[in-house]
Amino acid sequence: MNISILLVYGEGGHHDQAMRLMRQMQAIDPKIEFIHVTDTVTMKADSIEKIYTVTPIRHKNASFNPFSFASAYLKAVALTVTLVHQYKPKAVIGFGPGICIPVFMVCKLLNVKKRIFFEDWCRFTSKSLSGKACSPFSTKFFVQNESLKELYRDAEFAGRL
Amino acid sequence: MPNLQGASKRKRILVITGTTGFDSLVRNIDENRELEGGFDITLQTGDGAYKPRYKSFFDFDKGLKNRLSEYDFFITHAGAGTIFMLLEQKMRVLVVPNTERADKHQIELAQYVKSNNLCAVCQNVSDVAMAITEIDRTTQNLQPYEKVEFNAVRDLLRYIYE
Repeated sequence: MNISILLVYGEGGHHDQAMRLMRQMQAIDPKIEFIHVTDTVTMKADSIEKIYTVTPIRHKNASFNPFSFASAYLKAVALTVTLVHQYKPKAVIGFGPGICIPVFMVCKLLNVKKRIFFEDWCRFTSKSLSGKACSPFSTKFFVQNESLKELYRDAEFAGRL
Repeated sequence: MPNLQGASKRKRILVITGTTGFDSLVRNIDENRELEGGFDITLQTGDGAYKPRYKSFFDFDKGLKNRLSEYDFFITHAGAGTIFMLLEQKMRVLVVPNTERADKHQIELAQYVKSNNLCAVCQNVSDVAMAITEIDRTTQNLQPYEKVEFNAVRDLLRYIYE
């Protein structure tokens, strides 16, 4: 039986990293089914079949709004519950930003056993919010700049995507 | 009569501002008419609100990676996706970190490329015109980008399957 993997990412660099890893994994095992959960519509043209779009948890140019935060968070929780039941993913892989937080929490609660987080490749000397929040829910954590290993004790560095 | 030979020798520059856009950078470059004498500048505006009036522009281009050879230099916000892609393609890059964003993390990458001499860096948008006039010199002796390729894909698959 083919396995499913949840791939969670936002726009820009988050999306680029996710696509790089996905292509590398597909080159080795073309049968993996990737279920995309994203808060961006900028890559609609990538001819991805199973893609689910959610509202960004925290908009990058807006100040923090607790009401829209709670609403976006709950929608992401509901979507993740549905996806985990529907596809029974073997793993979830997150690349930030905030959208990863509810998805990782739900995946842990629903016993998705492999939860892998990639800290943003633009981080050299500080943690991202999603990296900080997802690390307790992760079973494997990669940093992409060696200097970050000082901040994340259990993280692995295995090169940059 | 315009100097046609001079015009054809103008250095071609693409300004990349990613998905978010970077209005002050785009406006600053667009409104500087003196640059047009020496440079043929195209602006990628993303979701930015400012629409250029004097220079050619587009908002997004999915196939951009295949058209990099049409330009001599690149000016970009400090977005990692753009910078790493340009460095992998061995392009000459001037970075202007976007400090207008709510998140300030572009500073870290700008510091990294600066201290490793991978790109020229202009810290302030208001200085960008000056930085463009010097772009040929400041991007001449940069170090090649030596990337440690991600080498754990097989391990990761094994881990997921186990």
